[in-house]
Amino acid sequence: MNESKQDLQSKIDALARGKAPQRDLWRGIEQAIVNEQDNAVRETSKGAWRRSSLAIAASFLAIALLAYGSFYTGQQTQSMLLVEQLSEQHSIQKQGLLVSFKDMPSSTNNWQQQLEDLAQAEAAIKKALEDAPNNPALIGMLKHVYQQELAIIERVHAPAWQSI
Amino acid sequence: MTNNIQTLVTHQTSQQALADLITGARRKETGAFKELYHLHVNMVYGLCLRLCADKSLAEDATQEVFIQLWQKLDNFDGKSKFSTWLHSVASNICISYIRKQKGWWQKVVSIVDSTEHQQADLGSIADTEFEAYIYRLPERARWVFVLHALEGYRHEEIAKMLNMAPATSKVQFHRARKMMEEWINE
Repeated sequence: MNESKQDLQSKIDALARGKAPQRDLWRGIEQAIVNEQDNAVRETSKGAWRRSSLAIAASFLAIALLAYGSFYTGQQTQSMLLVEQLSEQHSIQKQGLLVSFKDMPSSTNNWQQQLEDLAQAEAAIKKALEDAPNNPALIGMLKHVYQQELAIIERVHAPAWQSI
Repeated sequence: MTNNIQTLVTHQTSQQALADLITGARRKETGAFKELYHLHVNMVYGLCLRLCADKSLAEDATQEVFIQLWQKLDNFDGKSKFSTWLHSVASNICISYIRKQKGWWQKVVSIVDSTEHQQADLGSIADTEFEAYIYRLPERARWVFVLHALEGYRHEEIAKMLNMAPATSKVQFHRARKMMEEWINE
């Protein structure tokens, strides 16, 4: 090693590595890390708030769906009940009429076939009502079919003088 | 013999105290981190000042090192000495900080103004004539000189840090050493 290199190396070895800053750097660092912690807490609470908001929203949605479901189910049940009542009432009326006209001659021979056709129409409407229990048009059609059935029974068994 | 045991006990106690401070700082205890800062600030600032050759930039870079240290403390795996790890972290952060700041600064201020500003600043930050020579070195040569000659990094390590070939690091070091020798002999 020549003299210049030795001289340089001795100066490197003698150089103090550490050096004190002339101003207080801690204050700025502290401010930054405290802000970072605050932000982290804010983010966490934001996250918690978001989570609780979502939970609340989900609860409201669940309640709303439940209520709507109940309402919907209630409506469905009500419609089906109405259809059942109609059918039952119609069945009683029909049986009553048939019993009352049992010994009376009918004006036509194909009235039972007509009742059979109307019974098929009744069955088709009831099937459609299972999918759309609140459909007022279907309920109206069912009522009309029942009226038609009763009307046929009455008409074919009516005395001859009434049909003139 | 007694002195050796005492030194060993003192060393082990201080190592345990340092480990406790690191644990505390990892738990985000500001008090523990403040003590870590006071223990290491001179080493970090000294390194930053020699890499930056600018007092104001070195102060900002030192703050940046400790702010990032607060966030990255979990990365310290304890395999090396804390001071060695911190040294490496500080070197990397400081260099990327200088690049970021100078890139921005050079767009605002002309190179002539910047050089004049640096020349005026150098006298006030150097404690010795030799230290003033370090600050006079061109930036890349100074980085390599500081990291290799003063801080003991190998050229391969410096090459990774500075994103250059190891051969370039060696060339820059040779250039810096020649300039330093000339200035010393003037």
